[in-house]
Amino acid sequence: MAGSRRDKLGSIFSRLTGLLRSGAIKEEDRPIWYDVVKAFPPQPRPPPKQNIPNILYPEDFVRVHFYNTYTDPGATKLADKKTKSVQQRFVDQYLDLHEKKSVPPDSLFEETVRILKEGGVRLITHEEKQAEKSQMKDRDSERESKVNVRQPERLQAGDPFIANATVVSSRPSVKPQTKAKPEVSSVNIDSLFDGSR
Amino acid sequence: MAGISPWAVKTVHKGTVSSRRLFVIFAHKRFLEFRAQNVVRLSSAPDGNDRLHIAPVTQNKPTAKAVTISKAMRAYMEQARAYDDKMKSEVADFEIGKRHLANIMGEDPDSFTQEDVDRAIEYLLPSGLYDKKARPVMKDPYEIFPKKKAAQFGLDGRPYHWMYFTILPNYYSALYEITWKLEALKDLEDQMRAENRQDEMEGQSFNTASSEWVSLQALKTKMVENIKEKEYKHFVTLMERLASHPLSAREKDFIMEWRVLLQSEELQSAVPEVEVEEGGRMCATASGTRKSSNAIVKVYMPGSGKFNINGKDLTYFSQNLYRETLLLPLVVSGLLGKVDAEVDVELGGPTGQAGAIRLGLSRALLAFVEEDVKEKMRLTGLLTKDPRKRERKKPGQQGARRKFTWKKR
Amino acid sequence: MAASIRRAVLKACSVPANVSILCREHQLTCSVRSLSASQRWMSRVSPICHQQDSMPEPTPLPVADTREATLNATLQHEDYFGVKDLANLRDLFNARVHLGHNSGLRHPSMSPYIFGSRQGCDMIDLDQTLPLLCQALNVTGHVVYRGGMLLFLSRQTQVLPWVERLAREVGEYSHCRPWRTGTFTNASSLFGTLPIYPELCIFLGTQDTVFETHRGVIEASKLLIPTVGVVDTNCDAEPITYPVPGNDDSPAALHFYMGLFRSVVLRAKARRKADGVE
Repeated sequence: MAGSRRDKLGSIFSRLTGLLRSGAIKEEDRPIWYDVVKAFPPQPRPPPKQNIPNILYPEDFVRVHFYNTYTDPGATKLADKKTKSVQQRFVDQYLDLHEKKSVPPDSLFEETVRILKEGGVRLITHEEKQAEKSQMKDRDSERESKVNVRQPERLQAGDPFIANATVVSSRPSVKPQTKAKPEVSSVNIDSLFDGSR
Repeated sequence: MAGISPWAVKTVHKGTVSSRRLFVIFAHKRFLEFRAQNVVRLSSAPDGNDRLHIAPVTQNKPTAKAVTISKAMRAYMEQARAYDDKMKSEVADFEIGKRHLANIMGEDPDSFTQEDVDRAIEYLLPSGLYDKKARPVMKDPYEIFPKKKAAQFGLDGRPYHWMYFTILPNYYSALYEITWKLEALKDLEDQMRAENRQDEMEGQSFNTASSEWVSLQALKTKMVENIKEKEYKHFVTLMERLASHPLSAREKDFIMEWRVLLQSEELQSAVPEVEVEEGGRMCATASGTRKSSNAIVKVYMPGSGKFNINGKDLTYFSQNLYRETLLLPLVVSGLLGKVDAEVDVELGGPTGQAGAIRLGLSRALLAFVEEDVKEKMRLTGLLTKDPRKRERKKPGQQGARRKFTWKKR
Repeated sequence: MAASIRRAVLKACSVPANVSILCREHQLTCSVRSLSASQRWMSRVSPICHQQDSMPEPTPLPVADTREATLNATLQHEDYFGVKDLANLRDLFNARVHLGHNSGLRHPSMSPYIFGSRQGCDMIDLDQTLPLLCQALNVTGHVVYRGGMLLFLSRQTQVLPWVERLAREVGEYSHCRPWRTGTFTNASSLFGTLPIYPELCIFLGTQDTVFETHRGVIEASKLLIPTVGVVDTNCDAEPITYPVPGNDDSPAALHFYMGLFRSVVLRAKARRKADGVE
């Protein structure tokens, strides 16, 4: 093909137009696509966007609040279209209550939890889970201490007092966070429901 | 008109090509049909393009329809014309050369065949070159010059093959075919499992024991494409995947297109004919070689274990080792003392002669044994020729490998 | 590398996108599904792939006596092959065309086509994709109508046989195999004849590997061959003549594009026959 093999200057259309104008390619030898591209020129490229917004929905805040308070209720079966996951039921219930405006915004979360628990859903908070874990650990270490008494360090680790202390220190900010969260999320949700995305 | 020959036909086998050799045949056939029905004329138009005028013969009014030939096609036609001309002159030279040769040898030039040519060349230009390919030859030019590819695109410049742009269309379309065959088998398997018909799948797998995949060289020749080692490996991997599918026996014909039978299979099939002599005795003849010895062995059934080697019995060989060597086939086949053998052996020493007899005897015995015994003999190695030969002495050395004694001072 | 494969798995196996599903729930159930299973599943259920195509009658062309005049008249027509009714926004969404890559992989040239970032994953603005897709289809139709050769390219192994089958069935060309450098730029020596080039290259993905642009994009640009390309958020849209921002990994999306191209090529060929411009 006639012409230079530069591929970064102009567009293929502008380059071929130049070749036609200079006579390097005869008018009747022009490729098939030339008329088509001339009739349907590519749309000009929009300028690059500097800031790409994050996509957030009101329910996101509900979910965050839910996950901060409660442990993961388990895997979801995506192929099963009929049953809703616990999280989804929670979110639907929350938004439903919010829509009805029958419950004050501050107690929306507690109210949703109450309704779900009445419906037979078992929700476990992070604290409960930790406590359960440490109990299990205690039981295990007790069993171990009976089997092998010559392990002073393990005995120490299995001491209920020490175990409790480590639990508290590993999640020190759990309690204050859960208390502060409802206010934050309720504010955000309201502003989002007002119509600004 | 000679210029636009087989490749000028556009309608041939678009997108369905499996091998280019086939293509040439089809294209030429179609072209002949086409030429019978149409008047084809090539002319130069004022714009510089060649135009091909095609008009049906049967029509009264000659309404010629001009087809503009693409640049690529025009270039190809020129190349093909040049190739044809070259081959034509080469063939003419060959014919004259053959007549000269016949005259030199004092034979009739008209009935001088290719075998005669080969013999004459070997006599007139004796060559001691080790590689046979390096020795002088005189052959038909079409066997010597590489084959020219037929055009892969039509008059309008559109390639026939839908994978033309991949450079290796035949290779890649084979991969494509394998993929879809495998997909079909997988679907079938799913269906059978869903219908709980697993037991029907037993024994539906392809048996790979008696054959192996075609070599890279064979694949290249088959595809008429320059396939690299890496691509060959890819091909074999994909083929293995197809062949190892539990239902692969359904694609047996397709798989066997790309496999060759193992040599042992061929050997086993080469069973000598059984002749019946006067008195109702059966006999079979086979030959064997080892080192420089040749042996022709004639086995008689039934017999009493008598041997006749160049007029002597087993004492022809003075050492027990050689006697044992040639008795091995009889021991393995369980026919020791049940057959007689008449052996004609020449050249070489005792090792070579004993080996040659062993091979010839094994081959002859194939006529009288069952299939499982044949397999046993093959596994013992009785049917495999020992390819080792005496290595030549090298100049500057005492022997094949041994060097002269060398003292520094 | 493992992370990128995992992302691809997640992307390929995602359920019809419901943006409210959190990735956290998502990963738990999706990652167990194997690629090949989902691929084979796709081949059977994809409705677009096997749909019956009926072309709407276009407004009649002005009477033209020569081939040239007919060709020119079709170019005056806004939508001669009826591509506008081939796809709508809902179809694009259902085919997961909006799903982009991780924001960290974003190519600067793609930023104007991105709607937003959801959970660290870019979402493509389908409002922009739809008209670009329609234009690309229209151009494809016109090139086929004029007897041009199409070359379908893709390096996505999951849909490779499907792309090749598409090309074969519509009577066009495909190149989904490793690209030998110089296939266009050094064609005369690689093919051993005067080079033949397609009139339009259709890239169903413009990436060769996860990190490299397909070499064919550059070679087509050098040899003045126009390109239609599905560009994901990690691709360079700059060298593509008609970029179509969209997901180039999910089989669902790719089968969707293939269905569209199949329809438009068949329509253009039918028109070509009917109008007598062969």
